[in-house]
Amino acid sequence: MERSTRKSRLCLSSYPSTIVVLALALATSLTPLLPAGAQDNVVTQTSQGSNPIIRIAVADFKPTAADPQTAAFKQTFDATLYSDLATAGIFDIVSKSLIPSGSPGSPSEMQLQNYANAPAGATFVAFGSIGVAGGKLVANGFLFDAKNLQYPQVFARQYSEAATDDSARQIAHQFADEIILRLGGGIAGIAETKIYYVKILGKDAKEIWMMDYDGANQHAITHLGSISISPRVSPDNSRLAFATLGKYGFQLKMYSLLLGRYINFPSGSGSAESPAWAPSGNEIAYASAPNGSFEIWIADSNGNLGRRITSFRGGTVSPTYNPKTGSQMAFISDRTGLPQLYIMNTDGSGVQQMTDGGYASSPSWSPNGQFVAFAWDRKYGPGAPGGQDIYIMEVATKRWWQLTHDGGRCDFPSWSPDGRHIAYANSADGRADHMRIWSMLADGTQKRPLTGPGADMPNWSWK
Amino acid sequence: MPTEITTRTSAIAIRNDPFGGGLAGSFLLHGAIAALLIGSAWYLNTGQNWGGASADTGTIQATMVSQIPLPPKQPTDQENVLATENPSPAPAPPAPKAVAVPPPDAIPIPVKPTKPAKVADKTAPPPPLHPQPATPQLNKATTGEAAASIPMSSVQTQAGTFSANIADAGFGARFAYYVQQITQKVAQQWYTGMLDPQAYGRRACITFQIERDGTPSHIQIAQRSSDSTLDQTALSAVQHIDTFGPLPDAYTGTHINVTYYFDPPPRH
Repeated sequence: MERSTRKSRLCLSSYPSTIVVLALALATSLTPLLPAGAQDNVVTQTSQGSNPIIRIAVADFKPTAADPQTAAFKQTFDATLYSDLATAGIFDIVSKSLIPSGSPGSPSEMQLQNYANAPAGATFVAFGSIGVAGGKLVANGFLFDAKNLQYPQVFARQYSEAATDDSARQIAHQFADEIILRLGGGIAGIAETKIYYVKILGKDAKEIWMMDYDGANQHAITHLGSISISPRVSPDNSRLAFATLGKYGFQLKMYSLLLGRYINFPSGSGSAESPAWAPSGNEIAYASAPNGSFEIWIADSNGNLGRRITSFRGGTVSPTYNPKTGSQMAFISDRTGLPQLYIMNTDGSGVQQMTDGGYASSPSWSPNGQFVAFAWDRKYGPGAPGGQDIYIMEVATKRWWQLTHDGGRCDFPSWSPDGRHIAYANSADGRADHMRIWSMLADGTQKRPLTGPGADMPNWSWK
Repeated sequence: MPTEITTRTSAIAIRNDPFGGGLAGSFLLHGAIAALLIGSAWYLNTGQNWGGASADTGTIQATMVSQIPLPPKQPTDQENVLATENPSPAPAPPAPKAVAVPPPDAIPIPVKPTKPAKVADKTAPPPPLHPQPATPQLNKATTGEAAASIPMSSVQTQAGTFSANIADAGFGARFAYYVQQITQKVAQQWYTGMLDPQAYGRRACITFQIERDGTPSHIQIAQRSSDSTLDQTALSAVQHIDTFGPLPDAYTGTHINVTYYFDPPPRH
């Protein structure tokens, strides 16, 4: 119990509950007429910790047009916005049933006191209006600070997109991301990110698919009719590297998401698997076995100038870069028996063993560089208790936390770009074709499935 | 009898010498070759001989001269020690040609401008850097940039809509949520577990600026607490923060100055 409390403080950048003595002595209250381009002064203070988690209310948006399409778009928008904020990991969202009745469409219709008082007790309120006007879907979104009745407005945005259901969802994502950016301490939201994954279509057919971060809009990317695994999208979202089974074993392939076609990627001798992009986008690390034993290689993003980084007894696979620095790499090696988690510098120096038991696999390094998430079967062997679960480990201290418990086999964790979420694959009954992709907060709470059975190896896009 | 003796002798000689026939043949053959060479030389040498008495063409005529036309010898200059007695036969340089003045109505022929030749930079390349932290990826999609900002307050009248941004309020009152966010973010990064016992009850003060994009800068200890652990934890709490999030839209300044007090409560 003690462990899980700490974990949420460390990995979530959330708002633990400690008292703040906030003394807002405002030097600028004496300077009411500041010229544009000047600066203000802020005096603030802390004695211990920080405020509790932000409580936010999301009022249903007000339909502004009698257009029959509007109702459907409004429903999509409201549901998407609520879900985005509820899963953001930094909000305590006010239940719909506690929200005052009526949907204010503009600041003049807003009765802020009703939202600030119990039972809603919201600190912030998101509201606005949506409607189809002139063939365009137009939405006005407002975020109000319910505790600041004199100057409540935090920001206001107007969105205008084509009148489609997709646009309604897109606008909701954008508005949610803006709220998360403003209230989440400058860390951008992930509502517009994508997840790439392996779709299991049959015994010998696995293709690469993609979906929105919330599981909507699932569609295929590859149609190779083979077994394609390990999708990894480039940091600029322009290319997708993956491994596909060919005549000579697994080989890396590259798909351009901008051109919508495969682009040349030279296949070396021997099989190559598990690509990993450097955060600069200029290099790809992968595991290759030209001489029979898997080692980690690094090539440039076009697959040229490959050079071997590791040389150990046993196999060395599953490289993943530290996205913060780009100068470190986590990987899995079985040099001491069962596969264990290691880290090293990208030139092959400074190898450190991070786990010393069980069976570790599939590392993913958190965006802020602080943690490595990986799948771990801590008591591996016939009849051993427990199973394969998702763990995170703080790199500096080697302390670890277990995020999944007793939910069947879990594998392939992948961090979201905001470092607050982890996507992973889980199969309740352990069967490979029953794998489905889940998402959870990085403290192991708010687990929710994103896909049905037959989806594996998620890879969260970088932005 | 002598004849018989001779015959016998020759018979003996012939009988005793097996090379006799071959020797005679050899003499005959060499004699014939010599006769052939002499004969062919005699026969072939029937043309006229060069310089022979019968020749009537190809004569050479020679004329006597009084002197040989060598170049004149230069008078040596005693002053100029570098002067030579044998100056170069090179002719004197020609006088510069007079440039023809173009007629006043002439149209200049356009000349293709020539680029200066590129010279390769020969400066030594900078030494390889140690592994540098990668520039952080902006983990935000670029699709949401088109959203328009709506003014802070707007009044609709019959003449139209009047919009105004409120500027005459203190930052803390106007954007209380942002100040609260600064407080929270710094407090989260303040590791009070590293404080010395005597730090409790003291006060440290850090000042810094927050730029428009939310990045802190000019982080300084404005007021020391006479306890180094409190000063250092307070300073690193602010230094650990990459961004506070962009300043509010309605705020028109370029940055804000923050004064942040760290007050660990006294222990009892």
